[in-house]
Amino acid sequence: MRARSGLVAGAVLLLTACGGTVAGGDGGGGGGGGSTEPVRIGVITGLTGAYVQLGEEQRNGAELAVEQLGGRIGDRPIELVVRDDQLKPDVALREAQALVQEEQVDFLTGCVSAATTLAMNQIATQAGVPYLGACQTEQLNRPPNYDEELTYHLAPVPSQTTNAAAPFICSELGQSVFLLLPDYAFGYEQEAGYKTAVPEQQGCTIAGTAFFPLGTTDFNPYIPTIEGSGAQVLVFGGVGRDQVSFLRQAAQFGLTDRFRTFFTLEDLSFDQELGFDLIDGTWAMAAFWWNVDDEGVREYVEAYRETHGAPPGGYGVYTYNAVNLIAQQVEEGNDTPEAFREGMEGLEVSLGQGDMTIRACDHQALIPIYILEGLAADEAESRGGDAQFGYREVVATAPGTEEYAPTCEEVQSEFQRAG
Amino acid sequence: MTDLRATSASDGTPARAGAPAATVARTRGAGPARWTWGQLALYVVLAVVVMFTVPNPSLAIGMLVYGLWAAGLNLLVGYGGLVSFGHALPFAWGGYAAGLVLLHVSTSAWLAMGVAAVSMGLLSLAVGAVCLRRTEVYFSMLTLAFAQLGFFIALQWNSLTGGDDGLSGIPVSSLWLPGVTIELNALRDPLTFFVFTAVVVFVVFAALILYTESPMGRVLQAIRENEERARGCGYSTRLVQLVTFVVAGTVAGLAGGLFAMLNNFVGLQPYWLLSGVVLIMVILGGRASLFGPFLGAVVYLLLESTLSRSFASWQLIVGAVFVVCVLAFPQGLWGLVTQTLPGLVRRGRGTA
Amino acid sequence: MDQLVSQLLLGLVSGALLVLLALGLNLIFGLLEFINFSHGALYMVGAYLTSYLATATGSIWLALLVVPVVMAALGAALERTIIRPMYGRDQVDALLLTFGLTYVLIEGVRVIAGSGGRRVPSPGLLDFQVDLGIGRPLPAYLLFVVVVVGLVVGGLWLFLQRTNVGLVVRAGIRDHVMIRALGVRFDRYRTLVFAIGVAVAGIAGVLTGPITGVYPEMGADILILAFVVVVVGGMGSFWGAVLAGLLIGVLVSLTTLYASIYAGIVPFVLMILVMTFRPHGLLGAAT
Repeated sequence: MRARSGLVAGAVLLLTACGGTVAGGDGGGGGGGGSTEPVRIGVITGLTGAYVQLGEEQRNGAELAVEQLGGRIGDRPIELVVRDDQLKPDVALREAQALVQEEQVDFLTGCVSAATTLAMNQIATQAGVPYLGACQTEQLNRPPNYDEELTYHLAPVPSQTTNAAAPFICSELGQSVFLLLPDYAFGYEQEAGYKTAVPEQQGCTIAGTAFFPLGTTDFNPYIPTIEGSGAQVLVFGGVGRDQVSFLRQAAQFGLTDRFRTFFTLEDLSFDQELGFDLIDGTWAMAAFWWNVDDEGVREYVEAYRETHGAPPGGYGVYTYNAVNLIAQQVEEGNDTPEAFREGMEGLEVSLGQGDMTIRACDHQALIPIYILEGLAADEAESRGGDAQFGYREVVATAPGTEEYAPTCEEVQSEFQRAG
Repeated sequence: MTDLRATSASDGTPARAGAPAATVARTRGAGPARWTWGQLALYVVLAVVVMFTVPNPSLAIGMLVYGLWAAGLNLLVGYGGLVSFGHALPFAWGGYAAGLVLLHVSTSAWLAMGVAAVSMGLLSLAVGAVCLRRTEVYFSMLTLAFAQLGFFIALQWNSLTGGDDGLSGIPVSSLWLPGVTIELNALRDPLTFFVFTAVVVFVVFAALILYTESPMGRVLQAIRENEERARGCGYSTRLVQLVTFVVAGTVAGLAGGLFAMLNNFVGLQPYWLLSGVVLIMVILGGRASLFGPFLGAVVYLLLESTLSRSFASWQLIVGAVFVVCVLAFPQGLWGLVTQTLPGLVRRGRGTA
Repeated sequence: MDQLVSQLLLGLVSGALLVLLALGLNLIFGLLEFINFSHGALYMVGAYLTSYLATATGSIWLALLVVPVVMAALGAALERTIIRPMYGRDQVDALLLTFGLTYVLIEGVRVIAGSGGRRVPSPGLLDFQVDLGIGRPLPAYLLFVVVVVGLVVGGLWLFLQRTNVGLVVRAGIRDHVMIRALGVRFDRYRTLVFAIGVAVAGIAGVLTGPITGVYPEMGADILILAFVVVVVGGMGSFWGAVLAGLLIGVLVSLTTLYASIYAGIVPFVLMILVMTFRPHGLLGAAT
């Protein structure tokens, strides 16, 4: 026993003497380096796993931004470190720890799922590194997650999108709405959003709500409930795989003929899996669409298309914006977290998503939300702008104003499920 | 049916050799008897190596935690012959228990660890009572069923566990020691946390070794060899297996609690996948000892962190390695070192 | 009432696919004495093959004929190479081996086909709805699935009960030592049964493709359900698998209608209950 404890003691001494690996490197990325020190930006996203296309877009978006900046901000080179979180919060956590402790990143961004964003945010704020969230969630801007020094949110909160969708749905699609939502935080957030926004529209009601477990591929059991509700509009809140499965089955049942179907989130990468046949005659909502008439968007889309051969979906623009925002602030000399914060609050800028404002009270990006109509293959060129990728056309736009976002008061309290 | 299977494969696992390596060696008057308590020294060496060489402190601490978890599982798998596909359940829920204590009750590390361990021991008692009514494959399937059940509950019980988003914002804990209270903040002071974890794991590891050497542990291994015969000798086999299940669950719960304290976060991932990971660690490292799974955990996590940077499909490699392990090296890495290599050396020297 | 009936029918459909998987698992377990953990991944491979074949040729009908054959060949190859060494060892080792195989298959598919899903074109011929007089039309394709599953179940039963090969298989399940003693080349039968099991999983994959699309993780969740079916029905029991599969399909479907948040838990609660009160499964025999 004595020999062993001696061993341990000796090891500890050795360590503190050499400044070994566990002992070395306390938490915290530095801000404010010398004038030629690299700016290290960490991107953690889902590069393997179910939504790999979205993760790759985020990586591509960040890399494109760095490339367009020439790899430098003034005299300082940009070091972009991209890591895979496999869509798992535990891995996101571990990678965030690595980026913050080993790589000593100055800024952190990226995420595909809300769960990973909260994990990353936790580490970043613990370590004093600004984090720019890149996926939709109500919870990043609110306690207990929001850190007013360090947390930023570049993707919309779900209530922004539901507030934007409700007027369109109720006036153009139908006055009785059925909600089919996934049974996890994103679904609950949509529920709260729709249940507030829909009744606010004159004469519009929610006919029913159903939740399906995450990862369901068999939606057949829900169809009788939907049919029985008597609704005119079916709102589907799932993403990716769920959406694809659902739409296939709904089409098989002829549901899409009897209901006007509306999707809370869409992405070009899933559109390609769905194909024109299934998209035609449906509606969707997105915070980004490649074929939008805005200078900043066009620039981004063209550059992306040149590099990758296809227009970007909706996820790459967040990291593209993040890198550009960081570059702008650092160039102006705001490279410490405090100065960054001062520069960001209230900022109005036009980047890959068009006109954008970073609200001061919760660092939420206010961006336009687009309502998209699905097109048939023969309309792709004329209405969609491209024979291959013209899946949808923008039929309504909600501008990026405070009107659609939760109020500064509302975000002071934790998110609550709809009663 | 079991009796009629061929026993010609000489892969070194205790099941084939007919007795745990330690006992066999003891009758030969040589080596592995040392390995029983020597495993503690091995652990210390491994911990020191990890401390020096792994650049990411959180990963290093994670290796110790996962190692403990895997060692506890091996009590069931290697020593008990009971393959559990649900060992993620006590680990994950141990994390929730510790996290909830720290969030709502107090930031005492002792309390968090204690509650994690005890609550998971009790849970394992209930789960084990049902699962152990059957053996072999049925047992495995039942553990899987309970894991899935636990997963769904964790997913649905949003207000308790945070659901899909996980339990975040867990405060940093403090360890009360006579004379001083140490704050355990892994991000700001990784060395302290590492030493703390290493000591806790050391103590529990010693307890596990004690268990395997105790009469209960011996009977457990006898049951693995031939349950009917053990029963015939008058041992209450079900009780022994249940106690082992509880011990393994308690250790897993403690490991999960430590993990929650490390990350200040408890995430949610499919339990059957996570159970598979810890099982891989056990098989990779070697079923024949308690140190083997430790080694397996370190190697697996090392592979994961290094390979995942360069290969998007690193899991393909891990899966292939695992398959090869089961096929050709069922004794695992540590078994390779302690049994196969000395065997080769001996054969080379021409001695029996 | 209409809702209930259509929910029941839908449950039978999803149950039918579970039945196919469970039957394959049961056959393999009965004769080869291990649970094939890679069954779900193989089902997924079958679905992917269907997707490729269907996109190349434009229809899934060819897939229905070709894929089972290819899967049988794959199954036979796997059995001869990596599964054979497991026979002398613990049941557990085969479980672990096939578990590792799952990883390899899923990741392999990811590498080859990408992590995103693939489309499987709907069979144009069946793109209509059938009115069964229950107030709500059902897609013809789903009825087709039930019919095909029925044929496969019937075919398997006939094979086991009415052919000589089937006779040997049944005898082997009962007592393989005796069979060997009687001079039967047992390893050939093992290869055959594994191949059949995998082929049936492949058929399930073919059928599922047009309903859900194909993606690498599709085998995982359904596999766990298939395990539940096997255990609830009684390991090694043919009709047990059929009964339990349909039962679980219907139960999940009905739970979805009335209390959808519990739908995921129902199969496991059922399994635990059955294990507690009827340890050998609904139709299983005490060995």
